[in-house]
Formats: sequence, structure tokens, C-alpha cells
Amino acid sequence: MIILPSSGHYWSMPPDVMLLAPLHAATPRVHAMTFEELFAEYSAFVWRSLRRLGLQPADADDACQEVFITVHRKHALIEVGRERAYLFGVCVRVAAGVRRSRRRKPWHTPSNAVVDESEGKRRSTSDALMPDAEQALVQAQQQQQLDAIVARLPDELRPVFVSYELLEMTMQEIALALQLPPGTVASRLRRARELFTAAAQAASRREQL
Amino acid sequence: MSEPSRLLDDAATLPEVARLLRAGRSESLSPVRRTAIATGISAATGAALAAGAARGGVSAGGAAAAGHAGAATLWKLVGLGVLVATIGGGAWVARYRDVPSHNTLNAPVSETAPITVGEAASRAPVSVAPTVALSAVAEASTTAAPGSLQVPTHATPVHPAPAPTPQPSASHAHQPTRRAAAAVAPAQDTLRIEVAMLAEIKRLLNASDGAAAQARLANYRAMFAHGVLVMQADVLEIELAQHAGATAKVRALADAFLQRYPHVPASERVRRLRAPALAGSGEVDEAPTP
Repeated sequence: MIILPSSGHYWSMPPDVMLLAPLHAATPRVHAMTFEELFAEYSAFVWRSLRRLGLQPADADDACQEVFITVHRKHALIEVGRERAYLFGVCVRVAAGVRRSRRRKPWHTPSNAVVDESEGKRRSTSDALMPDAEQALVQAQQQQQLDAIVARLPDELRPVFVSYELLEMTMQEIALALQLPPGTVASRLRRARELFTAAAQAASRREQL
Repeated sequence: MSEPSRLLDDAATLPEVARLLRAGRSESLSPVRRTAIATGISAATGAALAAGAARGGVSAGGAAAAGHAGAATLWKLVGLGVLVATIGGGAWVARYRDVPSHNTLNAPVSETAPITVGEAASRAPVSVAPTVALSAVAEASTTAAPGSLQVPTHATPVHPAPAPTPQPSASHAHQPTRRAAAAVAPAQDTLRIEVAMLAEIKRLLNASDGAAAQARLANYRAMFAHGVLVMQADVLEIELAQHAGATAKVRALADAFLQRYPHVPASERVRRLRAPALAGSGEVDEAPTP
């Protein structure tokens, strides 16, 4: 049974009602997605989530496979309308595992824009599609800077900031994905924004020197 | 509680903050990566993601063909391409003589170039190939939506091709077939062909047509000895050996695979495939575990 939340009053719902509310009320679905549909719909979202959670592209590829292998085992348990929240929750756990396994290496190598040999073959193909190499370079540098700042956010703030500001998830989805009370999500987002803004300003000042 | 406005939507957000956030949102999963990931998941789970992706591309193009049929069609196109090259090849070969055979993705190729003929001419299923031009494959790929695998559904007919004739005098008659594959299509098309070939092998395996699957796998190996999806082909080969009941071969292949790739997602599947072979010999699993 699906209960549609009234706009703007989601957080005032009793918890049991909140858990029944679909996360995409604008386009409610009544049937569960197959595993193939999940991959078709959310593979790009999962990969971007993993990247923004601090994984290098090659690691994000492997982690993306791991996420969907997990989903393959459990996809019958995913509730209709909550796929994105579920997937992001898995992404957070998988990304944390990859980071732990990379403990001996820097979280982000300084040469993020320079790809390793195994990456080179695939990257060169996508690079060939970029209309402007200079623009691509600037974009890569900005992404590297963004990743460096996000990496310095405290662990408990990072997923909240990434999911809301970069992946455009709703507060409701984030609360479900991270299994946090709505108030905690809001306060973490606020703190993360302050830290991120301060770090971005500092980085900008350093560039101008 | 209402949703706070996002920083990028807030006019008060500092430009340097907005710039970084925009960069973070702009990065996307390329079709090449997506395909490679899908194939890896398919190998690990047995789900038909690669074929499903092809199916999505076909439906996006408005065709009614099923995914497996699409993969089969692409396979036939590859075969026919070899056939067409038998007739029209020759001088073009010199142009591609310097293409590094180990790097098909980066090879400078032409979308419409005829291809040389190698051993694949005798192996490819040309007898069942429809008369279509390979350029249709490249053309379809350039119009495909990002992230989709598209099999041409309105392939350009060509004149009925005469039976392939041997070219004993041509010095290039036995050029490596992977070079021929590189000349067939640009980088992404090469990967599409790899995906389609592996999807076809998987389909044949699921249909318990081991002999045909084995023949297709041999063709894949010949064309893509250093392909992007070689690891997935290795998994399929183990599955084929298991299907054939060749326990010793399963074990040997699985051991070799786990030696090479101990910590990839497909390793777990290979261990599962290897387990019955070990049980039959009464040995203990000593393969590396993640």
C-alpha cells in the first residue's frame, strides 16, 4: 500500500507513515523494478555517487559492480519508489569498504587528472568525445578540487552533503538511505555546507595568490 | 519541514562554490564504462545485463527486435563484414598495417573501410548472414543515445554477395583477425561488437548449445585476443567447460582465472563454478579468497 505524502509535511508524519511514503510521489510506480531495469535506470547514479564519495574512476567501476551484485542478491527487498535511497545506502557502505582497503594509499592521488595505464585505454575513448580538451582539463581540475574538499569533510557529513548538493537527492531519501532522523540530516547538511563553503573560499584565495 | 534550496540554486552562493558544485554534477558515466560494468556484473551474477542494454538500444531506435536477436544480428553483421572484405579488401590492408594489434580501442580506424580477411573468414557464420553493410553498424552507433547499445535495425542492403573466393596471391591473406576487427568500426563500436559476441555466447550457453557457443568463443578469441572483455570471456569459457562436463578443464581454467584475477567481482562466481570440480577430486579449495 502506498500513501502519498502531502507536500511539505513529510517530516511531521508519524514514523510508520513516513516509512510507507514513496520517495518519488510525482511519478509513483506500482510494480517493482527488475534487476535489469534497476541497472538501466540507476547505473549512472550509482557510479556518480561512488565517484563523489571519493573513489577513483577505476575503483568506482569495480565498486559499481559490487553495488549491483549486492542489489542482485537483495533486490526483491527493495521497496517500490525507494530504489535510489536503497542504492545510495549501499554505495556509502561499499565506498567506505574500498577506502578502507586503500588505507595505505592516499585517498586521492594528486595526479587524479592523469590516468594510470589500465585506465588509459578506456579514458582515451571518452576523452575523444570531449569537444574541447582545454575545457575538459579545467573541468577535471575542478572535479579534483571538489573531491579534495569533499574528502576533508568529516565522515558523518560527507554522504549528506554529496547526496543533497551533488546527487540532488531529497532529504527524505537521504534520511532513509543513511537511516538517520530528518533533523540529523538537516543539521549535518548545514554543518557540511559551512565547512565546504569555507574550504572552497580558501582554495580560491590560494589560487589567486 | 520543507527542503532547503540547494547551493547551486541559491543566488547567494559564492561563485567559487557554485563552480565546484557544477563540476561535481557534470561528471557522468560514459557508455564505454557502463558497458564494461554491465558485462562484469553479468559475468558475476548471470544476469543478462549486456543483452538487456542492447535490447534497450534497439527499442530506443523504434525496433521490435528482441535483445538476443539484436545480438545475433550484430554477430551476423560482423560475419558479413568479413565476407564483404573478402571481395573488396586488398589495397586497404596496407593502410591499417601499422595499427597496433594489442590496442583495438585506440586504433585509428575508418567507419567504412573494408577489412582484411584472416582466419575469421572461414570461422564467421557467413552462411547465415543477411546482406547488410557494416557501415550501418557504425552509423547506428553514432546516432545512439548515450549509454545505450544500439543495433542497426534498418541496415543498408547491399548487392547479393557472391560466394567468398580465396585470395592465395594476397600477401596479407592471413593478417590477424583482430586487426580486421579494429578496422571494422571505431573504438566504441569495437566494444559493442565484443559485448554482442559475448551476449550471443551467453545466450547459446543458456540454450544448452555448447558446440555453437564454443565456436563463437573461439571466434571472439581470434578477433579480440586483447579485448576489453577478455576476463568475461574467460568466465564464459569456464561455464562452457562445466556445461560440457569437463571437470578437469573447469578446474584448470578456474585456477588460472583466480590466479590472474583474485579480487574481481567475477572471482566469486568462478569459485562457485570451480567448487564441484574440487568436490569431485576430493581436494580442498586453496584458491585465494577476497
